[in-house]
Amino acid sequence: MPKQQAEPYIVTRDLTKRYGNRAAVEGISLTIGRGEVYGFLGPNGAGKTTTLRMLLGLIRPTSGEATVLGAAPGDPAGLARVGALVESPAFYPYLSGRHNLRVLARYTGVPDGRVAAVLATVDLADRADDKFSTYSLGMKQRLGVAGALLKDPALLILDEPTNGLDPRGMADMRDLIRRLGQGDRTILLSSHLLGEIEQICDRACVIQEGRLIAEDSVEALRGPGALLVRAAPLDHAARLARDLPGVGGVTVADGALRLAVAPERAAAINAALVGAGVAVSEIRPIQDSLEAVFLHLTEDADGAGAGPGQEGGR
Amino acid sequence: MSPLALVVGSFRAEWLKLTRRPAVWILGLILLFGVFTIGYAFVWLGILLIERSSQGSGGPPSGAIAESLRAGLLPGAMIAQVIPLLGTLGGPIGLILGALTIGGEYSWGTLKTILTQRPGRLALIAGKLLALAPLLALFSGGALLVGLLGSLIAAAIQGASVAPPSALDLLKGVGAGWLILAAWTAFGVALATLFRSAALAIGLGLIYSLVLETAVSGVAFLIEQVNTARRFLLGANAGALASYFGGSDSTIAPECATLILCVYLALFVAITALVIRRRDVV
Ligand SMILES: Nc1ncnc2c1ncn2[C@@H]1O[C@H](COP(=O)(O)OP(=O)(O)OP(=O)(O)O)[C@@H](O)[C@H]1O
Ligand SMILES: [Mg+2]
Repeated sequence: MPKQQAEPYIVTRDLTKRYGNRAAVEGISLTIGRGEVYGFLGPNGAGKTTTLRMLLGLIRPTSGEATVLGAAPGDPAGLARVGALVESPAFYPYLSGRHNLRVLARYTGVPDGRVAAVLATVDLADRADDKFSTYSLGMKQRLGVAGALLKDPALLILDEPTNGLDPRGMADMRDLIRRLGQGDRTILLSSHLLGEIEQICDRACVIQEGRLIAEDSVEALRGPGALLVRAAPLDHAARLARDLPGVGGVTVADGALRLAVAPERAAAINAALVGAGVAVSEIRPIQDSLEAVFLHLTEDADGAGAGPGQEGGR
Repeated sequence: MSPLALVVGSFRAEWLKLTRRPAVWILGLILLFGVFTIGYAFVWLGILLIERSSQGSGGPPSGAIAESLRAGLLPGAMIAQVIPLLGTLGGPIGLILGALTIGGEYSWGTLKTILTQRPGRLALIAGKLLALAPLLALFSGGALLVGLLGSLIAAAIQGASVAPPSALDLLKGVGAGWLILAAWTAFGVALATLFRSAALAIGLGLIYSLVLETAVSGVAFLIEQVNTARRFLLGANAGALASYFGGSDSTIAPECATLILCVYLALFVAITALVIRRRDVV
């Protein structure tokens, strides 16, 4: 991964935040280089937002360190090149979208002209003069992204930016983020949607209960892929499948087999099973492959021990 | 960008927020309306009532009262008429204004939005307080302007002198009104910062000024130590400075009251800056 060797934009070392006895984030060490589009994947309450808040200087780490664009988090010198949307977009309800952005532009020190430009970028220009309080959830979200883009930032930090958007809005937002991530801009995108990270990011980490449990390129995290096989008798099919070439692992779930294997092997596996007298009723690639990896990773984190995603990725 | 440029940017942003916020103008209008009705309309009504009742009984004491009330309505006496009202109305108005300005940032979550933009915490709070300063000068100046208006009307009706107070006296009046408003506003800002909420700040601020200070004043006659402590209270000093302009004597000298109000202003600003700088923003 050549990009990773580039000038590091975000470096954290053992970043930890405790609330009372509970650690919201525990010992996270990351290095994100210039130009990367980096995914921050974790279920609800994993500590994604808490980590981003520490990177932006909104909250202080209990221990550990972070450097963002060579500056301490929250330092105006670093923030000058960072655009961020953390959790839900927060604006002044009595001001229009345009005036809200003007307020931010004044805080940031960018000319008012940027306001119209970013409104156009997020496709909000025609409603820009309505009060923020009258906006739909999706419009609020887009205004939040517009605010993050005011500085034309070198580093863009987005915390679940597709939250609350309808499918169309989600697709538009993902397109926008992908476009923004082309070139030299670095993006840190948090999400609990695996498909989203898969569509947008080059590299991603998975965190759960505040700990980093995996970090790799998206392809490596995704693993070799998987097939779902419905067959009878199931236990016989499982025994046979285990010995077939290319099959990494076999698990049984919901009356079907899940084979860790490249999806292109479907025809060969079908032939082998049928040849051995097994009735195969369905065989198909599992679409949400990163999800499967993610489930394995998080199950393993409960138990301890390396997950299949980590094995497959390294 | 230099730290100064960040403060200037923050000031300009805050000014935009303040001047476009309906609640701010409602507060200003309530202050001006209060000055006009309590300081002029009600007094005029009082004069009419006194004169009507004295037509029957015809006693000279009520005639003298009406005369002094009439004199108070003239342009020359407008500072004495208006500034004492800023002493009473200014407390709650300033408190609410201060609490709303910072409480909104917490309740809407906009503090996080601003802080991730750029300015840094101290520049943010400096810009906010610096933007409140000219707004309060507008409030204080506006109150005197309403006084001028009311007194010109009164002078026209009575056919009396329309000579206004000297420019220096007007300036002193605006300054005193500003200081009273500023100390209470800073109180509201500090409370709302501490409690991250406008509602709680306003409630506690009013409890302090209406209940606590009133109770202390109530027993101050009886216990010497309480009387000494009372002389250092925010409301007592704001009231003393205001009543000095109203021509009535106070146990607190105006210079002393001015100094103590300045100390309160600085103290509240320092508390606010310290808390904003140190505390996590979620
Ligand atoms: N201010 C706080 N006080 C106490 N606990 C907190 C605070 N902020 C976060 N936490 C806790 O830290 C943990 C991580 O929260 P965080 O908001 O970072 O999760 P997240 O990964 O962003 O989740 P989501 O996908 O739901 O947004 C949670 O258990 C949460 O309850
Ligand atoms: Mg979150």
